[in-house]
Order: sequence, then structure tokens, then C-alpha cells
Amino acid sequence: MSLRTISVAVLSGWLLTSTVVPVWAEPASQTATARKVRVTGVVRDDSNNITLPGIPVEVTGGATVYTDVDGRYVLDLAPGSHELKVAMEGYETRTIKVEVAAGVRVVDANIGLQMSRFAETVVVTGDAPVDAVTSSAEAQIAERKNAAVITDNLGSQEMKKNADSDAAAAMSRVTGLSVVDNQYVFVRGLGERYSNTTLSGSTLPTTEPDKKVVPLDLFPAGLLDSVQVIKSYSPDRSAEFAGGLVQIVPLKFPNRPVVDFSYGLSVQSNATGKSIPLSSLGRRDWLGFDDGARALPAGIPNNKIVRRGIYTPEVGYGPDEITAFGKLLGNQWRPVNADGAPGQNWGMVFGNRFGKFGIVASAMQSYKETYVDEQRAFYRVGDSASDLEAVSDYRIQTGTQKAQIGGVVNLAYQFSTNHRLSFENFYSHSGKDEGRTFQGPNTENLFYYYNNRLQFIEEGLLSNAVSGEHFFRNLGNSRIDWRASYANANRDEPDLRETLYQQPFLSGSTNPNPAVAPVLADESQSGFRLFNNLDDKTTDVAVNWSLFQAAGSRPTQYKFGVNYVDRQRDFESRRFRFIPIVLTKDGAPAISQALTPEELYATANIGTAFRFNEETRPVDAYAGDQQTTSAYGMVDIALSGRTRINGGVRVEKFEQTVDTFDPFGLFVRTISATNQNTDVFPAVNLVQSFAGNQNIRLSYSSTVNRPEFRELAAFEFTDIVGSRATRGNPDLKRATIQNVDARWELFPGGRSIVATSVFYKRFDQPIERVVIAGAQPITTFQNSDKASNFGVEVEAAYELGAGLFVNANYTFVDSKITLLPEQRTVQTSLERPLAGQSKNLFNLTAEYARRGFSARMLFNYFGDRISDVGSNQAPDILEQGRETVDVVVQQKFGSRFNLRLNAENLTDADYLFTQGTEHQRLFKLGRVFGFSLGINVF
Amino acid sequence: MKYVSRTMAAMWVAAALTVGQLATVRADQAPPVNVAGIDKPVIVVTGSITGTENWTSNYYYVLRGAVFVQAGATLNIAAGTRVIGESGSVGTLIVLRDGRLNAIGTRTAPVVFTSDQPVGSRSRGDWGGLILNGRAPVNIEGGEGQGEADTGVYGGTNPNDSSGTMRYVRVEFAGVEFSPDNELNGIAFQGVGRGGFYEYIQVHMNRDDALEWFGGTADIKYAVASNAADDSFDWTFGWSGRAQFIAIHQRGDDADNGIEADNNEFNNNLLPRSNPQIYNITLCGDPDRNEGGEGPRAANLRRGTAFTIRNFLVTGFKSVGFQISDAATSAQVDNGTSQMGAGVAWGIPANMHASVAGYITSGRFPSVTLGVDPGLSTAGCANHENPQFQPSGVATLAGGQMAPIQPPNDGFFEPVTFIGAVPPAPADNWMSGWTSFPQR
Repeated sequence: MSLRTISVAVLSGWLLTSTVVPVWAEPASQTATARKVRVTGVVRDDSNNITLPGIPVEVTGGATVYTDVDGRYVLDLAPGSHELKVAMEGYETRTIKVEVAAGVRVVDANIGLQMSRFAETVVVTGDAPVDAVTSSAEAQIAERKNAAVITDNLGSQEMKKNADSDAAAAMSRVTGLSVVDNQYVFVRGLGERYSNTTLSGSTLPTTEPDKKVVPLDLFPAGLLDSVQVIKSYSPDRSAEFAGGLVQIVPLKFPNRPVVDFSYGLSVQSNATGKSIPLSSLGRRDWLGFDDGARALPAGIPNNKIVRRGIYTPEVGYGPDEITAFGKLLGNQWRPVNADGAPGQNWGMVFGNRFGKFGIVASAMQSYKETYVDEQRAFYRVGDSASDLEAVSDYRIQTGTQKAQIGGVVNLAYQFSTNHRLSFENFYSHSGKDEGRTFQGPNTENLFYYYNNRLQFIEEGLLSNAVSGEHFFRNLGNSRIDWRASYANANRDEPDLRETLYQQPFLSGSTNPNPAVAPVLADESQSGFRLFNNLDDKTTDVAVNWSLFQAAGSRPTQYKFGVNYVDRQRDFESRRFRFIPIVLTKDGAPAISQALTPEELYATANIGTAFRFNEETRPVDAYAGDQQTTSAYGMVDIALSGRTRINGGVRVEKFEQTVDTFDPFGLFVRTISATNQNTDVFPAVNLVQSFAGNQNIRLSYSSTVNRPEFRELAAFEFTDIVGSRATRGNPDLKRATIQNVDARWELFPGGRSIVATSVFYKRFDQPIERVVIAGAQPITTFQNSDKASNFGVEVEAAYELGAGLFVNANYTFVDSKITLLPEQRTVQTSLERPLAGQSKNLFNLTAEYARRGFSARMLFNYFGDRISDVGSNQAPDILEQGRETVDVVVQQKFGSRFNLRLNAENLTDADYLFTQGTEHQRLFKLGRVFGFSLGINVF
Repeated sequence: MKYVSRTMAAMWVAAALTVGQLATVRADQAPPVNVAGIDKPVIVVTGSITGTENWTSNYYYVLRGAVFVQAGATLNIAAGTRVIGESGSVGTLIVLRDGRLNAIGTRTAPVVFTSDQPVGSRSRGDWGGLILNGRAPVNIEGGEGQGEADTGVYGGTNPNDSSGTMRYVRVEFAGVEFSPDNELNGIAFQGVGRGGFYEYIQVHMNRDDALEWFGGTADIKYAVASNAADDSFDWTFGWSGRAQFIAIHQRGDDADNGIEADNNEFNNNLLPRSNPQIYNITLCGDPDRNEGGEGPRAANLRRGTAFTIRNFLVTGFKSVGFQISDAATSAQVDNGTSQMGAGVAWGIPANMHASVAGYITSGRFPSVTLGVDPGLSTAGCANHENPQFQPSGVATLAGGQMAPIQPPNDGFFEPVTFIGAVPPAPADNWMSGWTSFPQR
């Protein structure tokens, strides 16, 4: 069993705590002689797994310590045989024997108490040494077993063994989860708008401009203890719950001093050593920070650069001023090909405690380069619906360098066994530098196009939280916990640069005519500069109060809490373009449009051959503000030693406002959208244990899915030539969801587990992407009629003996969304599966481990899923199912060194998107080979 | 599409409410501004027009941002009035469904919508343009469409709907790019019905199409489209209006097709089908390669449109005259709906595309003469500053009289004695007096 008490409660659990807490002994004799061995464990109520704080644990003939707020005790004992006695009113007094062998680092001895009524046995689990900082598979399974709600999770040790670099990669291993675009988690086939993410229980802001989801690749595995996915709802969590709640648990405190280092190198078969396009404009790109090379020049005013008119001369700038502004922008437009460098990463973890004070700190940095060579076509319906004709067919080559840094500093102070204060800080930052080129025919415009784009995206997430836990034995065994957190997510996309060239077709074909040089196209993607900034802030304050009644026949806990979450978002965009000055008979062409972009947009040509123009649109900025105020009450009753029922209600008052406005106030038009609801969300979870190691769980809940700021904002954007613009809808309403879940699970011991779940969800008025008709159809968001989502999950993990272990999970999901008849217009179908949902998901992990050596093979498969919903009779675009195979080999050298070799994406399967029988997108990611070395200094 | 209309209605209401709280500078609310060097007081107009408003030639009216003529409102613009689209705020005039714009100029005092830049510095796309939304039928699935760049919902079931009347009106240097690949037309007729009249209309130097018809039934007579950077005359989504005396002047630096005609690009056979009747049209391409290689076709008739094009003169395009694309378009010829001829095409590498030439040879398109100059100078017609549309020799074409085909006597069309947009007799040139072709 786990060294640590682990649990699932989000709002700083009452039943089970998820908070990161150091362990303190009483007396705090950390400086005990080296011969002494640490003995630690958690005291629980056996009937309902509730941890019991404030309980005396007596070493026969020695000291007495008390369990802390989490029910944990810590003792330092000399090697030999000891007896521990635990006594509490209402419970049978238990005495257990602990054998402490010399040289062992930690002995783990959890103690279960039975109420006098049920007294039968004393359970002592686990005596194996446990890694100090990381969370093991066994610990995670114990946590699942004890959870009041349906949970799946993955500990940091597993992530390391799988060589998963971040939380996103790790999540694809979990039953019922698929990861889309290597960032977004789909839980049970429900799109990213249906999954929520918390860090240490607090709501997180997102760096995504268009999505609600928090990209999980922002969370490097080295900073995490575990990632847990809660699949059934309980009222002490936010009611915004559908597919699942992803809880990120940062590093926890060690029981002994820890200093770990790791270093790794990786080779990407598509990129490393190959010539790839990159946009290396800044000297600090390798760290993920722009050095100012892409910043909006200080000379460019904060108000919109518009031309002065003769009728309203108080508005705008004169031509010479505008030309001067244009000359301030940098003049590199095309990616530069460079040899791809290998990926690198390093990390360190430090943890210790000093008296009543505990600390864990971690830092990491990583760098990698990737390259994708993609073929992408856009189709429209030809003469018949079965006949798709390509409007464009581009070869897109994208080179990326991504650098990430991150750190965690968590501090805690234990005033006494019953009172503790924690201060937790998390920081993650990434910089992605992308050089992209595409070329190919566009039969709509009858040109062969050549496009170059440079893009740099910096994303940062900083979270600070203060929390406290307090136990009052004399106040009816009250436990009060509270937290206040502030998190800020920022996404900066400075100076996107794009140019488009065109060349006529060779007569009778869609190939370019080599006799005619490509010239600059006078289109919006030519000479284009874009600056985007997004800032998202979340404040989350919560207090929970729980009361435990051990006396009487039914151990019962009551829990009450309040929570306030405020979220604010600001988005602003500025667009500029260099427009060719129209050539006339008045003079010779100012400049040949066949020159390179750097020649064309040379400073001398600004104002003579090109006119600088700000094209920021009237709706290029939006601001959102929302408050969720909630209160809940719930009760957890052990109806018998085996039956546990947990239920309650939550009331949430939600207020949301989004204003879309002209960033410079010239265009006098603000579009406001508001949402205001107060809803009651009930939930019931029933856990029935039998045969000592099996659970049956049933749950029902009513939850909600709310519009995201972006979906309400009338902001419009277009990504690539030929794709549709997307715009928000200020009229969106919330969707309500009814959830029913059932699960049977068997825990044969160790890492073995067998589990089966069935779930059904019904959505009323779900928010869905639709296309609306017009000369230029646009994508927007609307409340559709209804949707349903049904599925089965099967999971089996088994220790075969002789060091062999296998773990497999399979998920079947069947969903259907129904649009309103009046939404038909240009939609191809009124009924279809939810976008992004795969019918089949499969994972298999096989491991062989022996004497410090381990080898692991991981297989992941997802079935076909809709990536883009069809319109105008065109079929849906399907992302074809794909498998991934990874292999990881590890060898320990002594107790301090660990060498790991990993090979990822061995089959390098095609990323294939199809529309009807046509290929819409096709590319490969390439294979990754890496090694890493870990050192445990202590 | 009811849903969208609800959505949009809410948006407009929200917009209107917001605007209501902000300063609206209007003749009746704030005094006009005197600007040095400008010979009349300036009135800056923002937000919405509700009720009835009259603009006169005593002032210059500056459109600041999108100015909406709301449902139930009427904007009357008197002869000689100049309305200026502010470039800094992308001034645009949008008539929402059930709103009306009456702009009534005279031959000597037209109503002019123009740029706010000084003469010599004006260019295409200096400001937005004119957008008219009506309740006449469109063939967009759901019966309603969403205008380009947030310009309102259009379409309905009333072919006799009216969005007002415009006579002797010039629209110059408009067509700003609102979003990528999304420029505004000079005048966008979106689901406009035939209840109003549009005659003596010129759109000059527009960044996108000069005149574009998104469904509807509106008619137009005596129209000039010159120097547009895209198509000069464009229809889609089931336009079934009538047009007579249409003069088109293309410029090779950036023009696309003289006519670009669709039924519906997403489904070529949606109904009601685009099926305009066009009599007496002259399409002048730009033969000068020094101007640039654009302006390939006189007309691309495609995506299932039907058409009647009679009494045409076509010259000067870079590659072909008329072209029929897509099987659904040819089907409309084969089933007898679409008609072409009489007319003349000359001075084009391929005077007619093979898709049209076959019908001429077979006699399906009668009285079409190819490769013979009817006495209209191709260069003169392509003169950007002063295009000449009057032919001199049609009467003697092919050694005899080339008779125009008489349009139906339906009260709209006028009987004609000539081919092309403009009659040969200089005294009869309806373009004189009120049109203008400034380059900058």
C-alpha cells in the first residue's frame, strides 16, 4: 500500500485528501540515528475508508504519536520487532506487529480500524519500501479502490516507465481517454469542451484562444505526482462536469531528503539531422522566450493606425507617418532551413523537511524539434453529392522547435498534528517556433500558390495557492480545509508573418507554368502581420467543513462547503498588411512582384511600392468575465461494513459576460453576451464492497456544460486559405447533462485489477459547431437539440509472475447528436456521432521487470473519429483510426543510477483524414528514440 | 434558418442597444463640423438610423463605421449629396431588411458615395460600400443567408419586397477587405426585391465585385461598372431580376471576370434558380498587357445558373469571351431555359469558349457574330479615364443589319434598335453627365 494517503476529493477532501502534505513525526526526531527506520502509515475506518485524524498510535513500551489531519502517523524505530497499539472510542482497539529490518529505508504500515460492531480483523497492508517522491502504481490503485467516485489515474512512476514526457501523453494510457492533437483529452469520446482540469483542486485558466480545454502538454511529467480522471460526479466538485474531470496533482512531499537529477537526449526521425524550415528570429528561442525580435515595435502607436481623411482630419495618421510605422517592422518573411537538432531535457527534484517545515521543489527544461510534411486538400461537392472536387491541394511543410521550462515550489508548515498550512506554486512556460511553407494548386482561383509563414507562440501558466487543514476533535471530529488560489494563463503570439505567391497553371493542367515566374498575390495572406495576446486569470476560493460521527451504528460524514471562482479573459488582436500600390499607366511598375519577400518589403519600398495598412477588424478584441458561486451539502454513510452511499446537492450561481468590441473604439459597436443561471445539481454514488476485494459502484448525477468565452464572442478568424472563418454566437445557452454510471471492479492485489464500466449520458441543448450559409459560409456555435453518449469500458491488469505484467483496457463509445430541423440549412446531416468521438479505444501495456531491469511495450489504438463536420452535402471529414507502439527499457545501476532507453511511435502510422473516398490530410509524425539518465543523490 | 435569424436579431438588438448609449453625431443631435478646406459643413454619422432621415446637399455626410438603416427606417438622400465612407473606421452603409434607402440624384447632380482621401490619393477599398438586404427569395438552404462580413441577414418569401430606390448614384473607391478573402462589393443586393427601382448607377474602382446580386428579384437599368478589382457583375443564390443597358469596363491590373454567374456554389441545382434576363450589355476587357494579366473572361456562367443574355458586345478580354462551366449550367441550355444572342464578340484570343461556341455553331444561340469589329474601338472602350461605349458600325455588320432581339414588353424593358449598352447616337448617350472615372 501507499506510503501516502491519497485520495480524490477535489475541494481538499474531507473523505480523502488530495492535498500535498508533508509528514511530521511527533516527537519530531528526524535527526534520529542512522540505524533507525521510518515507519509510517494511515489509520482508516475500514468500513468506509475514511481516514482518522487525531488518533493515538502507541509503540508498546515506547512513544505515542497522533495521526495528523490526513490520518497519518510517522515513527522512527530501531530495527527489530515492534508492536503498535491503536485505540479509539467506538472502535476495536488494534495491536499490530511490525518487523523492521535493518537497512530498509521506509516501512509502510497502514492500519484499518473496525467499529466495535463490525470488529473482525485487523488489516495490515504493505511493507515494501516506497519511493520517496513519486507515486507508484500500487498507490494509485489503492486510491482508486478507496475513492467515493469512479476514478482512473496514473502515477508519476508509471509516466516515467512509459517515457511519457507530459500529462497529455500520459493520459492516452488511461481507460476511456483519447488525446487529440497531442494536447486535448477526450474523456469517453466527449470533446475537449467537456473535460475540465484542476491543479491541486483549483480551477485552471487556459491558454487556448478558441477552446475551453487546458492543453495538458503544459504539464511536464517531471513536475507531477499523478494525474487522475474522475468519471462520476460528486457535489463537492464543480458542476461543470461531463466526460470527466482531469485532476493534476503536483509533486508531494517526501518522507526523507530527496535530491534527484535527470538528463535525456532524443532523436526525431523526421527532424533530427534533416534540413527543416524554422523561424529562428530570436536568440532566446531555444529557451522558449522571444528576445524582443517579434515584439510590436515601440514606435507603433497603441491606437489603430488608420488613414486620415480630409473630412475628419482629427482621426488617423498621414501617409508619411503610416509609412514610417511600416518601416519599423522586421523584414524576414520566410523560414530558414536548418539542420534539426536533437531534443534535450533535464530535470531536478529536491525535497526535505526541517522541523515543522517541509519543502519540495522541482525544475525542468526541455527542447525538441519536429517536422511534418503534410498533404492537405479542400473539397467541395461537384455535380453530384458523391463527387467531390478538390478546390485546393497543398503540400504543407512545418518545422517546429519547442522549448519548455517549468518549476514547482511547495512549502508547508505543520503547527501541530491538527493544523497545517501549505503554499503551493506551479509554473510552466513554453515557446513554440514554427516555420511553415505550403504550395499547391487552387482551382477556384486558378493559381498555383506558394505560401510562407513564420509563427511564434509563447504560453505560460502560473498558479499560486495557499491552503490550510484543521482538525477539531472536540468539535464533533470536525475537519475544516480551505484554499485560495490565483492562476494566470497567458498566450502571446507576436508577429506572425505570411506571404503568398501565385503562378498560373500550365495550360490544361494544375501544374505551375514554369515559363512564368511566381509573383506576389494581392491577397490578404500576402505581406500579413498579426499580433495576438490572450490573458486568462482565475481566482478560486473554497472552504469545506466535514463532520465525522464514528459513534453509533453507522459511521457517517457530513460535508458542507462553499466555493467562489472568478475568471477573466482578455483577448486582443492586431493585424497589419503591406498592400501593393496599384500600378497604373502613369508609370512603370514600382517593383517586380516576382522578387523575394525580403526584396519586396525592403524598407525603401515601404511607402513607394507598398502601402502599410492596419487591418485590425472591428471585432478583433473581446473581454470575458464570469463568476461561479456555489454551495453544497453531502453525506457519506456506511450503511454497513460493505455498503457506502454518498450523495448530496450543489447549488451554483453562474454569471457570464462577454463583450466583443473594437479595440480602438473607432467603430462604435460593442456586442455583449450574458448568461445567468442558478441551478441545483444532485448526485448519488453507491459503493458496494464484497468478497473483500471487489466493489460495485453506481452513480447518478445532473451536471452542466456552459458556453466558453470564445464561443460567445462575435470575433471571427480564418486559419488557412480555403478553410472557413469561425465566429462566436452571443446567444448561446448552457447545456444540461444527466449522467448514469455503473462499475464493477476487482482488486486481486498489487498492481492487478479487473474493472468494467457502463455509462450513459444525455445532453439537453448541447453546444455544437455548425456551419451557417452565406456567400462565405462560416462556422459558429449553436445549441442543438440533444445528444446521447453511451459506452462500455473494460480494464484488466495482471501480474503473471516471473516479472511479467500486462495491462489492457478497451473502451466502446456510441454517441449521437441531433440538430434542430431549422439548423439543417447547410449541414450535411441532422444526426451523427459527436465530433472527435472514436467508437473504439484500446491500450495494451506489457512489462517484464527483473532485478533492476525492466522492459515495457505500449500499444495504443483509437478508431475513426470525425475531425470536421460536413456541410453543403459534403461528407464529414474523418480522422482514420491509428495505432501507436512505444518501447521503453530501463536498467538500474545500484541504488543511485537509472538508465532508460525509449523508442516511440515505432510503426509511424499515417495520420490520415478522409472525406468520402478522398484523402483530405495525410502526414506522418516520425519515430522518436531517446535515452535518459536519472541520478538519486539521496 | 429561423435559428440564425433569432441569433442575429439578438445580435442586432444588442448592437443597437449598445450604440444607443454611445454618442451618435447626427444633424438633429449635434451641430455639423466645419473642416478647414472643405466647402460644406460635415456631419458624422454613426450607429443606426431609425425612423425617417433626410440627407441634403447642404452637408457632407461621413459614415463612421457600419451605419445601419434599421427595419422600418427610411433614409432619403437628395440630389447632389456627397456621402463619404470614413476610411479609418471603414464607413459602410447597410440597409437591413424592411429598411429603405432612397438615393435620388439627377443627371447633373448625382448622389455620390466616395472616399475620404484627398483626390490623387484615393484607391480601391478606401471604405466599405453599400449593402442592401431584402426579403425576396434566395436559394440558400433554409431560405436565409448571412451577409459577408456581418452585414445582416437576407432573403425571404416576398419577390415584390422593396429596399428603396436609387437613381443617378455613383459609388467610388469602396470595397474594403473586412476579413481575409472577404471584401465588400460596391453595391451588394442581398435578397433585394423588385419593389424598388435601380437605374443610372455607377460603381467605380471597387476592390471587390462592383455589383453583386445575392438572390432576390431586383431589376437594374442604365448601370456602369468600371475598374473593379474583381468581377464587375456577379450573381449567385438565385437572382432572377432583369437588367438592361449595362456597361462594363474592366481593368487588367486586378480584374476577374466581367460577369461571374452562379446558381449556388454548394449545390448547383438549388431553387429558385438564378435566371436573370439581361438585354443590351457591353463588356469591355483590358487588352493592354502592361496593365497586368488579369481579366481573363467576359463571363463565366457556372454552377447551375440559367441566363438570358441578349444584344451584347464583348471585346478586349485576356483569354476568352463567354464560358459555360459545370454540367448543371449546360443542362439549363440543353433544356431550353438559357438563351444567348444576338451579339458580337471580337478582339479576344478565343472570342467564345468551346463550351459556348458549339451552341453558336449549332444555332442554339442565334445571331452571334465572332471576330468582327462592329465599329467599337477596343482601345477606346478600354480607356480607363474615359471609356467609349458607343459603337458606330453595328448597322452594317456582316453586310447588313444586325438586328437586336426585342425584350419582352413587360413594363420594365424598353424596346431597342441597337446592340450593346449604349446607343450609337452621341446625343443618346445615357452615360454622359453623371458618370465619372477618376483614377486616384
